[in-house]
Order: sequence, then C-alpha cells, then structure tokens
Amino acid sequence: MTERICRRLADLLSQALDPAERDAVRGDLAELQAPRGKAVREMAGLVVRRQAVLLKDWRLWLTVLGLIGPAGVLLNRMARGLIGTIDRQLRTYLTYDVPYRNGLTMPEEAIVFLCQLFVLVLSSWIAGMAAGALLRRAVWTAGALFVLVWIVLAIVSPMPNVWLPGGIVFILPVIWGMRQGVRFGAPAFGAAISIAAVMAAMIAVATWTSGWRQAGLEAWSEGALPGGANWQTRLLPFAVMSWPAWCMLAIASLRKSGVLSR
Amino acid sequence: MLGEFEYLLLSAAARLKEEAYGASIRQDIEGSTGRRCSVGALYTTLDRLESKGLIQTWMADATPQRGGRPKRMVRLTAKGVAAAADFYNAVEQASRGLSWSASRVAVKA
Repeated sequence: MTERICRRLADLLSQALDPAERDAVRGDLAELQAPRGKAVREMAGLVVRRQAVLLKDWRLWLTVLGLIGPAGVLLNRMARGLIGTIDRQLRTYLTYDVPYRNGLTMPEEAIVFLCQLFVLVLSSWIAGMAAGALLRRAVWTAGALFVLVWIVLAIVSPMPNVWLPGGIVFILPVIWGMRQGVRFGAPAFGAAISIAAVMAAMIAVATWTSGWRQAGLEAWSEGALPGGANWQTRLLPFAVMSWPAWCMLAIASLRKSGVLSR
Repeated sequence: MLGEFEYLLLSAAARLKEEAYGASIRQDIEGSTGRRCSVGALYTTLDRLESKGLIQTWMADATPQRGGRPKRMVRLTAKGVAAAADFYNAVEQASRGLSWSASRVAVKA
C-alpha cells in the first residue's frame, strides 16, 4: 500500500519535469534501485529546484501579480458566496423545517445560482488556462499560488462551513484549465473569440438574473430591504473576474496580426 | 571559476568517458567523496554546465534495468576540460605549504 502510494506520488511529481528529463531521472532511480520513499524525496527535490530557478523569470511575477492574485481572490470570494447560498438554505431547512425565503421562487433561485456557478467555473477554467499557457514549466508554482490564495483567504476571513467546498468549486476548474493550458498553449484566435463570446453571454445573463434576487428581496420585505445595486455595479465583479478571457483574446488577436510571435 | 560540485561532476564525467550518464556519475561522486549526491543537485548542475558550454548532453538508448527509459549521456567539451584543469591548478596552488596538504602527502607516502 505504502509502496503504491509512493510510486503514484513519484509519478505525479515527475509530471512537473520536461518529458526527456522525466524519463532520464526515472530511469536513473530505477537503475539505482532507490527505495520508493527515497525516490519520492529525490524527485521532490529536483522539482523544487527546477521551480525555484523559474522564480527568476519575470513572466512568473507578472502572472502572479496580474492574474493569480486578483483573479484568485475574486473567484474564491464568489465561490464562497455561492456555497454560502446553499449552506444558508440547508441550515434554515434543517433547523426550522422551512426553506429560506428571499422573495424568489425555487426555479428563479436555481436559475440565479446556476448562472453564477457557470460564470465562476468558466472564469476559473480560463484563469487556469491562461496561467498554464503563460507559465508552462512554472505551472506547479502557479498552482501552488492559487491554493495559497485560497488558504490565506480562509485564514484572513474564516467561513468554516464554506471554505472547503467553496475552494473546491474554484480550484478544480483552475487545475483543469492549467492542464489544458500546458498541453495546448494559449487558444488560437477562433477559439479565443468563442470563449470570450460564451463568457460575455454568460456574464450578461448572470448580471441580469442577479437583479432578480435584489428585486425579490425588496418586494418580499415590502420595501424594508432596498433593491440596491444597479446593473453596472452588479456587472463589475463578473467583468473583473473574467478578465483572463479578454487577456487571452487580446493575445490571440496580437498573434494573428503578427505583432506577437508564437 | 567552477564551483566544487561542478568540478566533482566534471571529474566524474571525465573518468567515466563513454559511460558517463546521470546514474553512473552520481555513483562515481558518492564513491569518490563518500558524500550523498542528490538527483536534484546533479541534474540542475548538468544544466548549468551545459549552458556554460563545459559539457554536452544527449539522450541515449534505454535499457531493461532502467525500466526501458533512456539515459542522459554526458561528454566534456574542450572548454570543460580547460575549466576543470584551471580549478585543479588553483586548488593545488592555494593549498601549497598548508598543513593539510603536507599531511595528505605524508599519508600517501
């Protein structure tokens, strides 16, 4: 059992290396008949050294400051908000045996939730893909930084019931996007246009439906709770959160026009 | 000037000649110095030496004892030989007249 875990762990770690180096190192460890635990340590040591060298690359820091930091914080907060909605419904139902009422019908509530969930998953996937395509060899460091954002937010602003599921809803699409970004690179112009179009449509729908909740709450409370934000204010977080999609579109169009090389 | 580990690696590669690759270099360094040589240190140093033009590396045949995986072969360039010789001369010059240098000669004698 332990041996199987060690073998899987060494295989997983070796994925962070270039294919040729991965084969050579695994061959060396097999030839030296290194015990499994030692093989894992050796592999981890090499991966850490390789990633540490990449810390000198300015592109990593640009991506961290421009993409992973802001997108990670916004996506994480939105994920926590969404999971918080489910948590509130469940706890109200389990405690008082009635659904949590906010002026929306259940189908309306479900539509608002699903729209926001779709925008969140798509934005997380695109943020991951952008990080994977831009950083390639430093993708493990980028992934670790996304997780770090999640952990720091959990410490700074603890929400015990939602931090884990909220993090999973945000981290899994990021990892999936990173894999795609590393494998296929930045999308070509046609794909980037399609992604941006889907994103724009979903943002429009999510902005519109998020107004239902506020209008419903105002009607339900007979004006005691004001409807609040206008559409521009509701649009802003979605637009900021989705900026990696516009960034990918800009890169694809610059490449198409020949300003940027591949 | 080379670093100590870079010199050890160049010396091992020079000694092993056609048989110089990751695992054999590691065994040679551990055998000759009695110190542990990690894969991480070995491969990052190989890259550094290659980028300085002191060695050439290439992927060679796989063998069954390696689980069918290829070897990263290593060969010193002329520049690498010169750099290793410079390092050795510098250490020898710097050690001249010192007690540990004399005691090593005495032990050998």
